[in-house]
Amino acid sequence: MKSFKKIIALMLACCVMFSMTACSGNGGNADGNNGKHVKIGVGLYQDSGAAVDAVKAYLKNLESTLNVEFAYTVLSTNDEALNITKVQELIAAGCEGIIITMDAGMDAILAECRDAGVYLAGYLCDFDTSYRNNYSGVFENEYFLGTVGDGPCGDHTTRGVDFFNSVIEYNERNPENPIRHVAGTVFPAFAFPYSKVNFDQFVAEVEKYNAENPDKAITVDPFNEETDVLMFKPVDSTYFSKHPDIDAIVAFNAGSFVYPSMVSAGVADTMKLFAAGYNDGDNAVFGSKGAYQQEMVCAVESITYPLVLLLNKINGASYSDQPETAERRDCSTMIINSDEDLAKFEHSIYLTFQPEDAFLTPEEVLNLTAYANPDATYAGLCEILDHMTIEDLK
Amino acid sequence: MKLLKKIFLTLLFPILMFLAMWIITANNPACYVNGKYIFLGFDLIRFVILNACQSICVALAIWMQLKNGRFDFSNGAAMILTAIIAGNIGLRTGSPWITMLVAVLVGIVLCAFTAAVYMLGRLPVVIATIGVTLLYESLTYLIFGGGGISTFYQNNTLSFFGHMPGVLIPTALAMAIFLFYYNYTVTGRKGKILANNQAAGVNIGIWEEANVSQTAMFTGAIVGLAATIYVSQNAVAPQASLSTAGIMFSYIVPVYMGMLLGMASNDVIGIMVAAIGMGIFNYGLNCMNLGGGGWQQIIMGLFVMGFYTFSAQLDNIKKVFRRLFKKEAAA
Amino acid sequence: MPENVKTGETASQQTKEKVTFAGFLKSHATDLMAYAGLAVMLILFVVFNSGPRLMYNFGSVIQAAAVYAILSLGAVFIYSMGFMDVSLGQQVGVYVIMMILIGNKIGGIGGVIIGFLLVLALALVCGAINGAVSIFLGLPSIVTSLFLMFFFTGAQFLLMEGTGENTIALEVASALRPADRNAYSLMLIGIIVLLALIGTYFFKYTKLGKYTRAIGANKVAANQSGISLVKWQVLGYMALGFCTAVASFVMLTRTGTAGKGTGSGYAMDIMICLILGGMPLKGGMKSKISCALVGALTYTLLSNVLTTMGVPLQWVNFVKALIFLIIVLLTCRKSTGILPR
Repeated sequence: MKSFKKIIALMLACCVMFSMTACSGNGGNADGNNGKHVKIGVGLYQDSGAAVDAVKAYLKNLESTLNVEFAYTVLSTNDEALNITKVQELIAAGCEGIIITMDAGMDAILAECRDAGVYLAGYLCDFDTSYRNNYSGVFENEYFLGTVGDGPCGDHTTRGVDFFNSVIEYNERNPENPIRHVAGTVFPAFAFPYSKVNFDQFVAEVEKYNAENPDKAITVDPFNEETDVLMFKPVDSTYFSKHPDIDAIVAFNAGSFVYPSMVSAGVADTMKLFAAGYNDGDNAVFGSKGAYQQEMVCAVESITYPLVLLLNKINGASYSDQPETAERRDCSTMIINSDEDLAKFEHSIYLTFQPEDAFLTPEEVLNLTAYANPDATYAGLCEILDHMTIEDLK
Repeated sequence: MKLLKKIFLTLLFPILMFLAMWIITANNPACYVNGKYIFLGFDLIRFVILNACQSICVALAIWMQLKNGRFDFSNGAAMILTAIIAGNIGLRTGSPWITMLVAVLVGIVLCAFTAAVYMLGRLPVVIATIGVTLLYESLTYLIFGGGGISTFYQNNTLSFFGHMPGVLIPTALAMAIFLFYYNYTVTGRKGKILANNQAAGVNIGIWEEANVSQTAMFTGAIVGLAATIYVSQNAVAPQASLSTAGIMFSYIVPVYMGMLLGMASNDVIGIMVAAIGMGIFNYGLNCMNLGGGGWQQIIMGLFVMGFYTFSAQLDNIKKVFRRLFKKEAAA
Repeated sequence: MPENVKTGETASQQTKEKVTFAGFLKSHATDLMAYAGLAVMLILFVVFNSGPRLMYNFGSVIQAAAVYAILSLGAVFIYSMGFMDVSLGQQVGVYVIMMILIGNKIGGIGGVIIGFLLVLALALVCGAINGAVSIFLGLPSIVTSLFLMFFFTGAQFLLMEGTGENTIALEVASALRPADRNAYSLMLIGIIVLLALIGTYFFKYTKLGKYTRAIGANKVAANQSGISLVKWQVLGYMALGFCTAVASFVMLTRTGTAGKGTGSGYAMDIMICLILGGMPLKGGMKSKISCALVGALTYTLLSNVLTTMGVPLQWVNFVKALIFLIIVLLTCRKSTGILPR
């Protein structure tokens, strides 16, 4: 039967030329303390880009030490049927644990996991819809092990403060040309409920600052419900007419929704942009080289949290201080708001794709598991998430 | 007098559109910021020119095939793949001119390949071009590390063809290629015959395969020019699941409108004024905060429906007017 | 002499049989290739899924294929006329959201049933609009569906914006389907089989199917022979509307939730399903209900098999595209005459 499979695979390989050549799993090197050989599915939020390459490079490096192999797929933000199909396909591919980055269709996905005996954990996703509306169905479900958010989750958010700090740091570095007038952009509340909360947090910080420093007051344009909420499209051409004379935009979304319009409008050389998220190539127009003055990302190594939880469960191990129900954990954010920060960031795995630039080595990850290290604790696993800032980069 | 009438009729659509949007926006409070009216101004001109140039190039590529009786689904995918290849090469060479040259060459190669699949496979054109679209989209994940091209438009020197006045160069070239093809080449004239009656054209000795491949090369050149503008204005991400057809569809309105408006003069001019008119329409919607979200889609749908209905019923409308005028004359 | 005659008759008969067999192969080449494609996918599926999860994966394929199959069954009625509907995906999205909103508002299974009936009525009206407006206003059928696509995209966006949530869930979602996975798969198979039988009856044995195919084969000839274009075009689109409503309900039983992206891409997926099933996109007498089922299963199996084989993510689309091209080159190739359009 095995040889028949190979023949079939070979025949298809001929049909599709060279595409099948990369289709082979990696064998582990189980030596007794690194667990049984496990296949983990990873449902990412996009199929290409620096973050995807970086996370794959990081996980690839873990394969032999942790005796694990990974299968990848791409999920949708808001197409539940697609997510269920993709999870089913990962289960079909033999995955015993799945890491997902989306919170759409969770009930049905967890029912699939129950039927197949597969465990699920989250990465770069706060599962906020589930957390608010379906806590018992998801976080108390025995097949859901927990999630790590893309930064601080829910009410823990500090993004508004972070943005404010970046603006002030910029002004301190550029006293001759400070930012005095800003406008904001956010994602719609139905999709990103904390986007507007972050903007309000930013405004509150500015008001406090203005009260203490009237001579350096910063004006924030009143929030325009129609113009400043981006419906997953770049800011429209009239944004700059509706926010005249601004020095900077504080974008509580990826800069890719704002920067192209800045270029089109011819303001990219004069206006500054503080954004959440990082896109390939942004470093070329960052800091002293261009408009971007702040970007923020979570380290790809934060995937260690769901991965270790899954491996523990599959290997039948648990921590002595393991919480009874699944948790959503905050992750420290890498805030890049100066040329120095960018220089550091450019040497992280996020941009180099070199495993040796990662925060954690494979041995350190193995040491975090309960089955390989009886002294390992859940608190220890959570602690690593607090040390993935720009300052922590080697 | 006849010429003046033609010019008037040709320019009627964008003029009417401008006047309509002017009146509507002037009465909309959203179009006033700190008491200043924002619809009229340099931003309107810049927006309309930048958008119209992109629309004209894509629309010409679609129209060139459509005019020859073929609806090519793969134009969008060819444009995106060309933009990624040319953009990455342009990024390495640092020259917008090399980018445009590479884009034109790659566009020609891709469209020639599409034509080859269609001719050698002898497939219905929709099926052949859907297959090729899927193939080109899949290639966007396999070349240059699957990263698309995100930094090209950020560079002012490289993105010369994405801004004024550079954007006018590829647009003018695309229009010139289109006009040259249809008015000064045998291929273009034979293409018209094949479009009118394919069987009769083949029976009088037109070598259809040669015509298809030559037309594809001209289309490819225009696709390359469209890709040059596209990569100079946008970050280009890899695409899948026929999403490039959606990109192409977003430029299709000027094609059909251009067909109608071009009746007064020439289809290239028709497409140009249609693109300008649509640019004014979109800018007006943006001013009124209707440029995004659900309402924009619904308004666009109603507009498309209304326009098509008008064009489809034009003969009947003319008849009604003629009858009215006759009655008046008789009275 | 009698022997010669007999021999001659036998030879003639043999030749006739040969011609008939060759003719059969020629006239059914598309169908045979479509079935062969499905058979290859099934073999690969069994080979790469052999093991304890075979049944589980079979259920997964049925779940994923159900919506495609039901939509494709309805789409056969309009594709047979040479038309297409680009608004299918957005219609599914809006219908699922509406069923959830109405179901939650009224409460209980009764609420969902009322929601479904309202959606069914809306789908039939939209079908009628799709079919009638294009004829009354003299528009290509794709234009009215383009309008509906814009309209439903906007409506889906506004509905979700109104909820204030990224996704909304039906409160009684678990009551809509059997708790047992295999029973759910059987339920889906039952729905598909039932709809396929009804579809086959209408498509093969009633005027609806005969006239829609006749319109696809030659619209002018069909009209001149007394077939009402308005009536049968409207009925064809309403058949699709009915299937769209049922497919939306089936999707709801599967996901229990809906969002801004629900249904996205279905219009193109259905077109690919039908092409893989051997459906002539120009419509006509060769259109068959079986194209919908074969195509939907082949398309779903293809995606499943590529993942279970472990084809790297970035290569999946490339492999799919190549397989699509290979299948259409084998099934849709026109060997003689002028280039097909």
